[in-house]
Amino acid sequence: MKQLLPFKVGYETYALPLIEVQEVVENQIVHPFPGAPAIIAGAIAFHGRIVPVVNLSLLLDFPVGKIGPRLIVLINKRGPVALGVDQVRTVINLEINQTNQMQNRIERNYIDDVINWDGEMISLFALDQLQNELQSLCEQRGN
Amino acid sequence: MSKRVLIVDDALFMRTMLRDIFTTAGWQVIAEAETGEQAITAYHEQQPDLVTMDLVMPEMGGIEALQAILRDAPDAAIVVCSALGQKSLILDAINSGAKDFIVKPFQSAQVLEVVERVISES
Amino acid sequence: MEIDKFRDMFLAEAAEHLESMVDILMQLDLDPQDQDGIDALFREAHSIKGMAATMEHAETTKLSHHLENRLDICRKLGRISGVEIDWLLEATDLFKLLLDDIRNNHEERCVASFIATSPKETGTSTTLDSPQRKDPLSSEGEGLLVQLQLKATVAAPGPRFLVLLKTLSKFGTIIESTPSTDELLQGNVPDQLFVRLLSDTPQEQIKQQLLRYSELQEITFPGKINKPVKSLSKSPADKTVRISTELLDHFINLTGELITNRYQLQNALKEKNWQELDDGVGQLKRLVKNLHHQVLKVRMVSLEGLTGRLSRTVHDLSRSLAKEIQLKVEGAEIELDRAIVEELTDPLVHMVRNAVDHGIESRGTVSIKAWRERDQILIQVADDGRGIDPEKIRQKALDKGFLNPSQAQTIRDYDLFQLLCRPGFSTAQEVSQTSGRGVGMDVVKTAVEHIGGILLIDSAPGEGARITLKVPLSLAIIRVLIVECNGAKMAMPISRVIQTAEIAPEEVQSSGKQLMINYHDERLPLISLRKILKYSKNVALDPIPLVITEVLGRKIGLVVDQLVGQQEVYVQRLPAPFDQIRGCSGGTILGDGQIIFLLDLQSLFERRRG
Repeated sequence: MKQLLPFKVGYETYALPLIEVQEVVENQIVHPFPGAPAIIAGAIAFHGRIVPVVNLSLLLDFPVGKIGPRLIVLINKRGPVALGVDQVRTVINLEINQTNQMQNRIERNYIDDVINWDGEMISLFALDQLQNELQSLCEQRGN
Repeated sequence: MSKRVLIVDDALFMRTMLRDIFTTAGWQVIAEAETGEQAITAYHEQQPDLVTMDLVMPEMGGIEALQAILRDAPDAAIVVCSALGQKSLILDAINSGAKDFIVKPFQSAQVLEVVERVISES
Repeated sequence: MEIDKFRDMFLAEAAEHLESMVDILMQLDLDPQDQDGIDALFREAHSIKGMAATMEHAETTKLSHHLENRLDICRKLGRISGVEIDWLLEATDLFKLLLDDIRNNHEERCVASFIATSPKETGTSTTLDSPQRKDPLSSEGEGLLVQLQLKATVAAPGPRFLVLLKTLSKFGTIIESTPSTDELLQGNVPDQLFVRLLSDTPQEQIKQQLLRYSELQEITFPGKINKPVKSLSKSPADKTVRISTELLDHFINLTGELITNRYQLQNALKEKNWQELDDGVGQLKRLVKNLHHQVLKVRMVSLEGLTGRLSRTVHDLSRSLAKEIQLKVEGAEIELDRAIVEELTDPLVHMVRNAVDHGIESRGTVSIKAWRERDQILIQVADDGRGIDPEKIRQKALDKGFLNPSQAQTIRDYDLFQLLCRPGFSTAQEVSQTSGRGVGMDVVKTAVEHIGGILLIDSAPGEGARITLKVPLSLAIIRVLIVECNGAKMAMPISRVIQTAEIAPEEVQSSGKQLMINYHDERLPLISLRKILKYSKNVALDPIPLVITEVLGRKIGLVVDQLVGQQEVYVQRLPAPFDQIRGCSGGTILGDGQIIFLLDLQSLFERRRG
C-alpha cells in the first residue's frame, strides 16, 4: 500500500507520494526573490529556513492565477522546495495493484504515471523531472 | 564548614559503612539514596559537594544516574563505587564524567584519600 | 557511506598534514639545522603513511614511506639540504595529486618514477625496507613527557590510569599517550603510562598534584622540557573544526545559564508570575544572542593557514625566476570566517605571484599585512618594486578603447588603476613590459567582490605597488543596507556601499541615453535597480534615493525606490539548486518573518552585460 497526497493544479489532479512531503503550510507570505527564474514565485520562511516556492501552474502551462493558500513543502536530498498548488486534498491509500495502469508513459510533461482512483484520473507527479528542470533553470541563471 | 556528601547505594550495609567513614572524618552526610532516581532528585534538592555512587543498582543504574546529574550539573563531583570485578563499568563511568572511583571492599583511608582529592580539585 | 565518510576524513587530514609539511619546509629553508623541524616533518610523513596504509592507498603509502626513510636520514645527519627541501616540496605536490586521484575515485598515479628522482646527496639508503618503528614517545619533541608507574597492589590499574590521564588533561593538552584513552577504555592494562603533555603549568606543580595519588609508585619526567611550541598544523581542515577550550568553556557557562533560565521560566509559568516570565524571556533573548555570537566564532580561522602556501609561492617562483625575494607577513593572527579565508586563498596567491613576477625586478620584499578596522578586515599585498606608471595605463586604455581622449584626460589615478581589473585590459606579456602588473586581476577582483569585499590599487612609479582587499569579517553575520524596490525589501553588504544619498531630480543630467549625476566632482552614471531586476518603471521620485557603490570597477549611483536602513543580519545560503542563481548571494529572515534577499550587484551586472 502506498499513501499519496493529491493536489489540484489548473483542471488537473496530481499526486505525490506522501513520503516526499515534509509539510503542507497555509497562508504563508511568499516573498519575492530577485533574479530568480519566473517559475519561482518567491520564497517562504519555513522553520527558520528560506525555502523557494515553485509556481506549478506556470510550470505546467495552466492559466496563472495567484498561488493558492496552500503550499506543499518537500524536503529531499537536493534541498527544500515548496510547491504552490491550487488545492490540496486528503491523503489517499493506494493498493499496489491500482498503480501501473498505464502501459505507455504519457508524453505529457511531469507525469510519471496515471492512476485510476474510483473513476478519477490522478497523475503521479514526476518530482525528478521538476528537480532536473529547476537545476537547469538555476544553472542558466548562474554562469 | 564541613563538606556535604550524598551517598547512593542500594545496600544498607554499604551506606552505613560509608556514612561511618564520612562522619568520622567530619563530613556531613546530607542524604542517602537507594536508587538512581532518588539520587537525581536528592542531588537537585540538596546540591551536595560530592556524591558517592554505586554503579550496580536495580532499575536505574549508577552510570545512568551519573549521566543524568551531569547533564544539569556538569561540574558535579561524583565518585563511583564498584566491586573489583566491574572494571569495564568503572571505565565507562569515568568516561561518562565520574571524577574518580573507589573499589569495594572499602578501606577508610582509601575512600578519604579519593574524596578529599576530588573535592580539592573541584 | 561509511567508507566515504572515512575517505573524506582521510582526505581532510592528509591535506592538513601536507600543509604542515610545506610550512615546516619553509621554516627549514631558513634554518636547515632545526632539529624540531626535521622531527616534525618526519612525524607528518609518518602520519600520512599510517593513514594511507589503513585506507589501503598503496601509492600514497609508498611515497610517504619513502619520505619517512629519507627524513630519518636527515634526522640522523641533523640537517636538511636545500636540494632535499625542493625535492620534498615537489613530493608534497605529488601527494596532492594522489589525494585528488583518491577524491575522484581514480586509480592512484604511480610514484616510482618520482621516487627515482630523489636527490642523491642526502644519503644512499633509498630502499623501501621497513624502517625501525619509532618509539611514539621519544624524549624529543614538544611538550612535557610524564611517565607514571602504579604500585603492584593497585586494585584496578586500568581505571586508575584513566583517572590520571584525565587529571593530567586538566593541566593542558595531551598530545599523545601510551596507552591512549581508547586503548584504556578497551580494557588494556599497561604497567606504565606515558603522556606527552602541552601545558603552561610548571612541572613541579603537576608533580605535586600527582603525589596526591598514593597508588603511584613512581612519577618521572624523562627528557628535556621543551617550551610549549605553537602547534605546527594550523591550517583549517575541510570538515573538522578546532575549537579553543576557552570558547568551549563559554559554551558550558552559557548552557549553565540557560538551564537556570529554564527553571526561572518554569517557575514563573507555574506561579503565573507574568513579570517574572517577562524577565525570563528577556534573559533568554540575551543568552541566545550571546550563544549565537559565540557559535559563529567557531567558524573563525586565522590567516596563518594561508601563509605557508604564500611563502611557498614566493620561494618557488623566486627560485625559478632567479630573483632574491623575501616575504614578510604581518597580522597573520587576524581571524576571519573560514569561508572567506577559503575564497581569498587563490586571489592572494595570485597577487603574491604578480608581485614576484612583475612587481620586483631582481631583489626585494613582498609584504602581506592584515589588520582589522571595525567589522572589516583589510589585507594588503605590497611590493617594493618598480611600481605602476599611471601614464602607461592611460596610454594603453586609450589604445584599447577603454577610455576616450577626454576621459583619459580627466580620469583620476584611483580609477585608472581600477582599469587593471577590467577583463581584457591586459595580458601577461604586455603587462610585464608595460605596467608591470595586471595578470588575472579581473579574476582577483571578481573573487573579492563575490564575498562582499572591495579591491583598491595604489602605486606610483618607483614606489612599489599596494593592493588592498577590504572584506567583511564574517559571511554569516554581516551588516547590510536594506533598500526597497518594487515593493520588496532587499539588502546589500554595507562593505559594498560607498555612500547613500538623496538627490533632487534637477541634479540628474543626461549624456546620450545615460543619466548621470555629479558626485564629489565625479560624474557617475545612474542605474536603476528596477531596470536591472527587470521590474516595471517606477513613478518619478523626489528626492531620488541613491546608493553609491562600485560595480565592475566603476562607481555608479544605483537608484532604488527607498532607502530603508542598516541592520546586522544572519545570512543563509540558499538551498541547492537556487544557490547558483546569480544576483542573489543569500537571504536572511528578519525577526518578523520577512525574508530579505542579499543582492549580488556584481553578478547582476555581469548577467546584464553578458
